[in-house]
Amino acid sequence: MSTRVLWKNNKIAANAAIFIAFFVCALVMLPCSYVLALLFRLRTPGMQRTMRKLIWLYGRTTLFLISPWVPVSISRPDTAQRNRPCIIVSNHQSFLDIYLLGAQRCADICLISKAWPYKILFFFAPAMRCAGYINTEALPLEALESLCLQRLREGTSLVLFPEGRRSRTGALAPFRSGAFLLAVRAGVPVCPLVIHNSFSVFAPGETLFTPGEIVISSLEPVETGPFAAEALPHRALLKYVHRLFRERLHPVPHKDTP
Amino acid sequence: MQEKEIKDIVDAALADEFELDRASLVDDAHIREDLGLDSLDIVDLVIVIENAFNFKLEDRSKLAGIQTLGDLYRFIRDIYEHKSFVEK
Repeated sequence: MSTRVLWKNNKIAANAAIFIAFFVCALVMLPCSYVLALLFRLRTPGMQRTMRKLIWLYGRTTLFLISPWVPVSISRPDTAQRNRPCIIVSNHQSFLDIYLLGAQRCADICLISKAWPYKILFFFAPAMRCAGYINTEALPLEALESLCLQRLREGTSLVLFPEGRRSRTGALAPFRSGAFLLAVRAGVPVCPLVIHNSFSVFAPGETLFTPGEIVISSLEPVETGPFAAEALPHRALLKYVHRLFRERLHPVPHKDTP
Repeated sequence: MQEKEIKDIVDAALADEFELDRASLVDDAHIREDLGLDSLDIVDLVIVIENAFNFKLEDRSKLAGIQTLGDLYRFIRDIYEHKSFVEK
C-alpha cells in the first residue's frame, strides 16, 4: 500500500490531517477577524459584509483542505446567489454544517443562531458579532424580527437551521417556524439545502472524524406567494419545506465502506 | 361539547400542525418543555385552536396562563360552558 493511500485510509492519519487543516485555517482567519472586529468598533462602513464574506471564504477554504478525506459535492451551488436575498434553511447534523455553507456560492450570508456558539466558540465570537450574525437569545422577539428583516432589506441572505439544534440521531427533527415566518413577512424565497451524511462524518459528541463523502442537495427556491391564502401561511410553508427534506434526506453510503 | 371530543380535536390539530407524536399528547404534557413549542408556536397555537373549533376567542389573553395540555383542554371546555367565543 502506498504512503498516499495509507494516509488517506488510515483513520488516525486522516484525523490528524483534518485537524491540521482546521487549525491552519483558523490560524489565518482568526487574526484577520480580530483586526476587522477592531475596525468594526471604529464603525468602518461595509465591515459586516466584508466579515461575512471572509467567514464564507474561511469555510470554503477549510472544505477544500479537508476534501481528500471529506469530499463535498453540491448540486446547483448558485441557487441562493441567484435568488438573494433569501432564507437558506438546512438540516443540522453536525458542526461541519456551518462550514458546508461555504460550498454554496452566496457569500453574503448572515447566520441566525442561539447564544451558545458565542459562549463555547468564544474565539470566533468577535468575528460573528463583527459579521452582524444574529443571536436569537439576545433580543426580544420583535427586535429580533426587525433586525432579520433589516438584513434582508440590505440584500443579505439569512441562514437558519430550523430544527433548532443538531440532530442527536441523524434523523430530521420537526422544524421551528421562525425562518418561515420571516420569509412570509419579507416576501423572500426559502432556499432549502439538504445535507446528507455529515452526521456519519462527525456526529455530535464524536471526537474523531469518520472520513466519508458529504452530498448537499440545493433544492429549487420555494416562493411564499402560493401559501398566502392559508390561515397560517408560514406554517403551511414550513410543512411544505419539511416534507421536501423528508423526501430528499436519505443516507449516503460511506465511501470507505466496502 | 364532550371532553373526549375536545381532546380529539385538540390532539388532531396539534399533531397535524406541529408534527407532534400523538403518544406525547397527554394531559400533563407541558406545552413548552415537553411538546417543545416555542414562543412563535404559542402565537400560532391560538389560531390553530380557533380554526380547529371554528370559533374566534373573545379574549385571547386568557391563553397566556396555559401551561399544560390539560390546561388547554379545560380552557376550551370552559369556553364552551360559558360560550365565551364568537362563531366564525
